[in-house]
Amino acid sequence: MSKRTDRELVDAAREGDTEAFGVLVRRHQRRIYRLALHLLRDAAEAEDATQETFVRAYGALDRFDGRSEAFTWIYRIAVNLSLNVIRARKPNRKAVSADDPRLEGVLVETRAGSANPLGDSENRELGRALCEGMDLLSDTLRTTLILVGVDGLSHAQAGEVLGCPEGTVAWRVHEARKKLKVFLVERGFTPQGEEGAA
Amino acid sequence: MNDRRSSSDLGSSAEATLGTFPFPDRDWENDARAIEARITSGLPGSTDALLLAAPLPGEADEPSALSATATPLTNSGVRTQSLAELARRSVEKKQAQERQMARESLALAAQQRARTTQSGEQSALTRSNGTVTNGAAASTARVNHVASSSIAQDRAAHSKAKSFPKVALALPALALAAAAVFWFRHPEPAPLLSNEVAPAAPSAIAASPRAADAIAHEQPTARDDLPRGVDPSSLPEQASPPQDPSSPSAASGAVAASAPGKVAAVKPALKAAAASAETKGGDQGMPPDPALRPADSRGGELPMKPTTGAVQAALGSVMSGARHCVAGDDAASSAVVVFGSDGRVQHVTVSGAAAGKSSAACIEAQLSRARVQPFAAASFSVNATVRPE
Repeated sequence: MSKRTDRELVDAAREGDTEAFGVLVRRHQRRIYRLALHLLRDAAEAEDATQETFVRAYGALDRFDGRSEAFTWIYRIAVNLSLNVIRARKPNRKAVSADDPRLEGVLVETRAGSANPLGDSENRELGRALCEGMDLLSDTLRTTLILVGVDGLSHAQAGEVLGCPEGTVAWRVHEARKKLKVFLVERGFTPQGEEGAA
Repeated sequence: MNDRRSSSDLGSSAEATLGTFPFPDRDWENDARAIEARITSGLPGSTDALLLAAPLPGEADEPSALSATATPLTNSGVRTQSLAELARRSVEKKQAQERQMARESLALAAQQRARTTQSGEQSALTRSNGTVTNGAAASTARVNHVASSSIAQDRAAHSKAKSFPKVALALPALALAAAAVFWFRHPEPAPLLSNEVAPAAPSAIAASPRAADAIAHEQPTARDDLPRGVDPSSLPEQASPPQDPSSPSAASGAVAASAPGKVAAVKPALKAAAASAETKGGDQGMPPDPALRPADSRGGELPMKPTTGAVQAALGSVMSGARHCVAGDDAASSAVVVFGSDGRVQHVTVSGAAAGKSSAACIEAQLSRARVQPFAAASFSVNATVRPE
């Protein structure tokens, strides 16, 4: 039997097939978690937001009109929930700490099978600088950059999530990258390789 | 990803880190079970509608033109609605303003021409019938003399009339009186004037020096557009009020007092004059180059059908979404996309693996978002293959 599409799973879940919705959860929970982690910068909050996203999506299945893809629709719920958490908490996280969950992933990646300690160190610093630079962006630019730059959505998909045209997504990504680049240069990370694209 | 290359490049290392930002592994199965446990007790329809709304406001300095544009960029970062289109809109707006100004100045010139035409027709009509009083005969003789001269001579006569205002004022009055006498004797005069008497404007110039100045400066050849025909039924009303013809307001009053038939006779000539002036263009604020007149020439610029590149770009921008619809399918599906002349998709017909399934509607919805530039043909169809991801 061929793999069921998101739409078929949604249709089945609408009919009360919770197992079909479970397939949808397993298919997208990693990406939703990564999105929430980058938005919230807190592993526990990201876990809660991920779980809450799917629960709320299930509760709104009857309002999914099929005009967008199911996963962008779920993404939108995740973004809204994460932003609600950010707005509700006090602005007490200005600096990126060593136990930032985003950097934890970088550390794991660089430790595994790397024979270049200097390179690992540089990667960690670069990862930290990227996180710090992204944290300085506005919620709008940061969310758009995470969707496109980190999560790999196309401009059209990000536009569906954010409810704006592709051109606006492109502009936001460009602006976010420009600011991020300035921040990285100030931190001593000069662009290598594909220079001159700015 | 191409999306990332469309913007400022952060450098290969930063790009690699950003694009493959890892995240700590978790017990995903456990998480999924926890979610499943919650949804079994969840209530469908309980989700707040705000969670389904667009999440973020626009940036303060976000270009509104981009927000209003449907699909300026494709997934590959190539602009499908170019900046040239934005620039053309700006030029069109400016040209519309210039056209409006030109129309207003044309309307003003037409009003002035109507005054001169009216006076000229009156004196010429008097001359063509030949039965006038001695005083009227003398005046028409002068008019004939001036009418047969060139435009330069008209101007000379005009300057002469300026230097002898009393004579200049008396001539049209006499002409009007002669026309009135003639009308009462011959209620059905010849309806048409011959072409050779059409440039009878000198008396009108004498009657309205300001209007004559305007014509001399704005439309040196406008008298070619003067109406050739006159409705004689309007003459009694024109001749009856013995107004002072030296006053411009009196001249315009004569126009206003003329019968509807007279107005009807002048109207086509005004339209012709306006059309002629728009065609000539140069001194009316219109761009001399026809290519710069979008209202007139835009239709001619439309291609018969969209270019292959435009169609590919349009379909490419929505193909990603269409592929999601058939994710998990084994075979590819085909779709016939029909674009209307306005560049929008008229309908999509799906065949192949997705036909008859719910994913067909999904494909139709996705491909219907494609847009191309408007074209001249009634429709244009293209086949597209939607392969599973």
